[in-house]
Amino acid sequence: MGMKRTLANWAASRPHILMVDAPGFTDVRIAVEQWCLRTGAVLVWTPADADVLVLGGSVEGVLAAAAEELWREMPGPRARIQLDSADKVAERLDATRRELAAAKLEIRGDEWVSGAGHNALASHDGHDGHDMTGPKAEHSGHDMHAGHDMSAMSMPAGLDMAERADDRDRLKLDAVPFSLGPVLPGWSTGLVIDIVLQGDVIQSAAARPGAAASSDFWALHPTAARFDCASRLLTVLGWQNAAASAAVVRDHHLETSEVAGPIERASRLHRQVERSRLVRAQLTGLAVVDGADARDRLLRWLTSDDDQLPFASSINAGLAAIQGLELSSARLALASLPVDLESATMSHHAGHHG
Amino acid sequence: MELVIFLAMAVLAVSSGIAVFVVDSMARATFALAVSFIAVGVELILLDMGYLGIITILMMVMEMAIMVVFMIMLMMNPGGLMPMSMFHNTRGSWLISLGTFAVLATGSLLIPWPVREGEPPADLTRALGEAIMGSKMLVMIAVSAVLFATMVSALVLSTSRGRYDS
Amino acid sequence: MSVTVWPVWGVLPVALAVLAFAVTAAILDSAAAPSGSRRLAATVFETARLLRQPRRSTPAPDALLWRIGTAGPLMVALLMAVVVPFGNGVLSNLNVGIVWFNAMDVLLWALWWLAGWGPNSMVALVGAYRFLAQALAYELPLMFALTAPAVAAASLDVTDVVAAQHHQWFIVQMPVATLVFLGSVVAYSVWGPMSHPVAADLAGGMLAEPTGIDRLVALAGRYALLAVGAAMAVALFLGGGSGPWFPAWAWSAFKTLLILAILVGVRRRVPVIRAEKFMTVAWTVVLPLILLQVLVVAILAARDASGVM
Repeated sequence: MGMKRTLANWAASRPHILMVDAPGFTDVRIAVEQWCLRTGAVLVWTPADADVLVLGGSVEGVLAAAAEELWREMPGPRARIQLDSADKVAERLDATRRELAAAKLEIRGDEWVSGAGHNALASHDGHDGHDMTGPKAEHSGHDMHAGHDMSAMSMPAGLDMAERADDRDRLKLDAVPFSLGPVLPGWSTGLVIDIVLQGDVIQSAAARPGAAASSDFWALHPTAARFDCASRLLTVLGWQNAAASAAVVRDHHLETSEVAGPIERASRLHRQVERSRLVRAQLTGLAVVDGADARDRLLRWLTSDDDQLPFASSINAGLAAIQGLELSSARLALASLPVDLESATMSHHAGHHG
Repeated sequence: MELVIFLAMAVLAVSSGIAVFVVDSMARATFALAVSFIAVGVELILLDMGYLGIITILMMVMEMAIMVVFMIMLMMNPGGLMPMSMFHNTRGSWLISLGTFAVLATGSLLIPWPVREGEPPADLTRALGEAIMGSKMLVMIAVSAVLFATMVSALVLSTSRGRYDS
Repeated sequence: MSVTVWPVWGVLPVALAVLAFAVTAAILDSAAAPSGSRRLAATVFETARLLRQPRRSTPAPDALLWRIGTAGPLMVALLMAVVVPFGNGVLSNLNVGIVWFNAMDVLLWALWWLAGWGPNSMVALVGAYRFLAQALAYELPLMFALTAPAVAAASLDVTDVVAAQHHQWFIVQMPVATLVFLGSVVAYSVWGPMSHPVAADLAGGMLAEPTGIDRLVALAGRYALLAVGAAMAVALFLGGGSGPWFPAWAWSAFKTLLILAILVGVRRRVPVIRAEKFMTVAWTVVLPLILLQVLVVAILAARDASGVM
């Protein structure tokens, strides 16, 4: 029908991309981001909002399981593409967009569509952690027990009840295991940090040894690395214009090695971030490492003169920093202590703290 | 027409009140109570007490939103995923509540209510304000500010630090 | 100038007008994006996308409460629009119109929480609690900011407030109240700097799980809340439809669009304010300021009243 055709074409004009980039394939991620900037496609934060799943590089292990779960969580007409290298990214993504326009709605029976029972998965995935939060009312019919029988714990929808544990003030509160990553906005894809939450305060954190690959992409472009990390931290801060600005500076540094062009934009960005009282309020005193807090690190990243890489040596500093922090502070702290999953050292150290 | 709405709201208020005890989920119980209060607020509006009715709806919804935080935190089965009966002394409660209802209903039907003298004033809200607070309005406003400051100070004094460490 | 009260069937055109302004807000929002091609048509594309998506569920959700939560904000915006005057007319000149507006925005406390509770998702639930913390912070200043024009006009009827501004707009004598009101509109719409409940660090918070028509209604609700809030600000503080040469409805529309553009434009330019930090500022700085503002307004109103007598 003409109407459906038009609707499909319109819908595919602005595809929502969910990016799962394996460590070691940063060039693919950057190529996809540049394509999105040019064509008006949107990089989204959640599979519910996504049309296209882009797998960058060889996705394996935890990340592969996560990608499959994310694929299942995507509703509606969807498309999927695997990009193994950064060339011809634009052509392939354009082809995927056409495929999306032609995609039909599949009839699916999994629990993401019907909301019925669901077995707790072995791997933690996407942004929804291990399913345990304040359990909800709706029961699919066949599990009804009327009456007082509490001991026959038939777990509704395969979900366990949270256990209680002491918190900082010795109150017994529900302790919910959750995991940050492997796919989150403003996050090093592939990193998984298992946390125990009481409310929204993190009681303990441990990094899971995850996929890591060796590549010297960032080592060759230290300034671009700094602006990439700055762009991520600004995304987590919610300052979209500044994050976009930092991404533009990063792209410019990747294409040319002279610093002539983006100096103006970079210094304007630096001035804006330095003067911002909201940034000062949120980042001052957060994640102090070697005498520098998150704000100092961000401002240092936004100056484009030296050759220092922005990465922390291991994830342990980040894990120590988020102990006892509230979820959004923890995300900011982790974004200000980025780890390079591509460096050889990362694949050998998996920190545990708490 | 007004009678129809009044009866519909009455049925809604009572049935959602019953629902508070029947549903398993604490969240649903809280908001069933909110629906009951909203129905009562609409009835107040129908009785020409517009200000009181709307304020009732405002305050009750706000209170239910705060109450739901505590219900989820403290009650045993917040999501209602494991149906359990939480009634105690069921027979006694029925007797007491039905008895109270009978007494109040009989009373409201048999009491000789006073006959209205004169007309309702033109500006009901102003008349309500003057009847409640009268000449003491300035004192009431000052007292409410002092009460608020007292509550905030008490909270600040009782906990030396907040929930978050940062 | 006298106010015409529109007939009951005027509900439909008013609803359509609210949706039209909501669509305008969406267009302004996508036009303000930092980059991308065909930004002005983005609203059409996004709507087409969402219409093509089916609804999706999550494991063991509370579907009834979830649907109420996602559809709620749009309903609240339509209910608020009942008392907002536009040009020389209003759908209902309720004699306690300001209190009605306040009651409707309090409904959002319940509705945004339900949108976070419903899907049985960690990120959504944390978002819901963040919203309650934020709501606790802005609600008191909002209530006082609504009291100020009522005191100045000696009436709770919004049309009386518009009429009382015939020689001077209220923004002149109550700038703090105007700013607090606009800030509260941004806050209860979970927009821009006040979008902590739906922020990136939660992968979207309450907006992480709904799809298809649920998502469309929730996003439309946010834009509609901004639009009706802007229209109310025009009526309360900017003199409604008053202005030279052009008809009243044109002035109302122009002023509403101006305020709406400011509200929408603030989104990407500022970082997101954290709910607990906002609480400190709201109750220790903003609340005393708005109380002083109400005091000033009350003194001016008393002086005017005694001057007349």
